[in-house]
Amino acid sequence: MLGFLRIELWTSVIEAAVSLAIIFYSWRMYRTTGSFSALALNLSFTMLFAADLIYGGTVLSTIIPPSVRATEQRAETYLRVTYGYLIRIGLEIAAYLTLGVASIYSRRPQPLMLTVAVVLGQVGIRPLIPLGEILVTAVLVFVCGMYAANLYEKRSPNSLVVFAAFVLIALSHATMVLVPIPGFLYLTSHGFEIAGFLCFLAALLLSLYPGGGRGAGEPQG
Amino acid sequence: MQVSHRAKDYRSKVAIYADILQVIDENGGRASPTQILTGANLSHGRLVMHLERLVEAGLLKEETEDDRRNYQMTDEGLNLLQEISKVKKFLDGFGLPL
Repeated sequence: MLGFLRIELWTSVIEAAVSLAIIFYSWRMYRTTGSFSALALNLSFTMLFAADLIYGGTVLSTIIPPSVRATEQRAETYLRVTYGYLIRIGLEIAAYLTLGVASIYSRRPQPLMLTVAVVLGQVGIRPLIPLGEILVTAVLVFVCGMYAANLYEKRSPNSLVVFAAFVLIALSHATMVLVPIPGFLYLTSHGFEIAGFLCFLAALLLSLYPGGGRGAGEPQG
Repeated sequence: MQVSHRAKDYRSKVAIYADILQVIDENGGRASPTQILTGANLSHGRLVMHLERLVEAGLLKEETEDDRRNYQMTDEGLNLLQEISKVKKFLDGFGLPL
């Protein structure tokens, strides 16, 4: 069990670090431009950061004391990690919905209605963790659709990287739904999730350090 | 010249400022009101209002030569345009407007 908890912990740490970088730069972007979109992005990644912090914290609290190795403590450990996981899923749903809503703010309302219908349609599925994972996957499938449209429209490296990030994170949650017992798919899921967040980081770096730009008014998309 | 907004899209104030600064940058750092007007796709009234704000903020400098008015971008204006370009690129990736 300890091995799996360590994977959970490291995944949370990497995601939190990427989120923190995006929070920092999106806040700077908001302060510079007053852009509502930068604020929405900041809010969304703040929720993802909080999700990883809370979940990482609960996992860490079960790893640090040696009592986790004792059989009698395992039920309590499982319960604590489950609560942390549920809070994380709730925050992730809120974060991805914020991004999705922000991305269609200036477009059409139909995708939002579709998402709400998909989300509401899934309520009632038990138990809670698969429900949460299914909800996150449903929201992410919608978000992927939005970013596929964005990629088709912009055809820029940035939109490709962001689309890849959401596809990887959606795959991560989809594979997690398929995992009844931790195993190979469990590792694959975490690998997808880390890769997805690293794509977000790549998108940020591509924006901050564009190669071969000609100064201020470099051509875009 | 590139004004990236579709006709139906709402442009935020910062997006309009970015378009104005970009038009001036693409004209070598100095442009006439007519060049800015056509390049940034603005009405005359709105252009005058925005140009006044940009001059007040120290992002543009107004120059008159042979009864012709021109607007020159200051270092602060260029810095802001560079920052906005980065922000725009990042937000574009997420499909978000400036």
